[in-house]
Amino acid sequence: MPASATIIVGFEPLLQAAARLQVMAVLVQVEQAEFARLKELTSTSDSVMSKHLSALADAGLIKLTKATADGRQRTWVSVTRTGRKMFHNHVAALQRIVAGAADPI
Amino acid sequence: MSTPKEEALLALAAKGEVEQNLANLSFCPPSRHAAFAAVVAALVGTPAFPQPLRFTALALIIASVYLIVRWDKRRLGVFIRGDRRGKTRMVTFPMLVLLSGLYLTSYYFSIVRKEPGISLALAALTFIIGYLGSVLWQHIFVRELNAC
Repeated sequence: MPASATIIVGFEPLLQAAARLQVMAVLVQVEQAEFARLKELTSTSDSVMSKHLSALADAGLIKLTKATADGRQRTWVSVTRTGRKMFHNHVAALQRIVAGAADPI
Repeated sequence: MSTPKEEALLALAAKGEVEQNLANLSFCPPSRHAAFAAVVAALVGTPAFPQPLRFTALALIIASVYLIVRWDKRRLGVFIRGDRRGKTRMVTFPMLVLLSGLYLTSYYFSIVRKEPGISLALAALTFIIGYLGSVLWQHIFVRELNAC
């Protein structure tokens, strides 16, 4: 979206990338999701998913936990309360944009 | 250049797509429903056991819950809690009330009335209720995701 675009209440620029929105959409439905499964669900590569998860974790929207299973270290991801709220606000903002009812600020 | 409305539509479509992917992924084999049913049935049946064995049974039930969680994580790569927010709570909370009632009834018959056979019958009934409840929960979960 161009920088000059109207700011929509609840719209979260961090979730503008489709893969990030998809990651959050999965995480609000589950307790935890494994890195490889998130990658598969969103059809992204390892490096792209890592970057997205780092950005979301740095912003406090998700938590990353490492655990060992079958001799391999796996990364498990869960949404934070802040992340859940921001995701729902962002989706509501998208729906208002689609409905043509977005209120600029 | 696409309009904000077009971009918002694409974003919502991407969200819908991944929710459908998650719904497709979340298939539960009959053995998974049976595992849940067996755990709740065992819990309801524990009053039928004599005192020292009862604690062993409870410990085994707790270990089973841990193993089921591990099984889900390995099988699906996600873990979904039974009490998650959403329409599935329409199944979770009534089931909780019903199972609590069954447990208390089992306790009464085994401990107060000294009729452990009734507890075992209640455990068998609980298995059926638990299995059907798990199937229903799964059905509502998938429907909720597909409707998002």
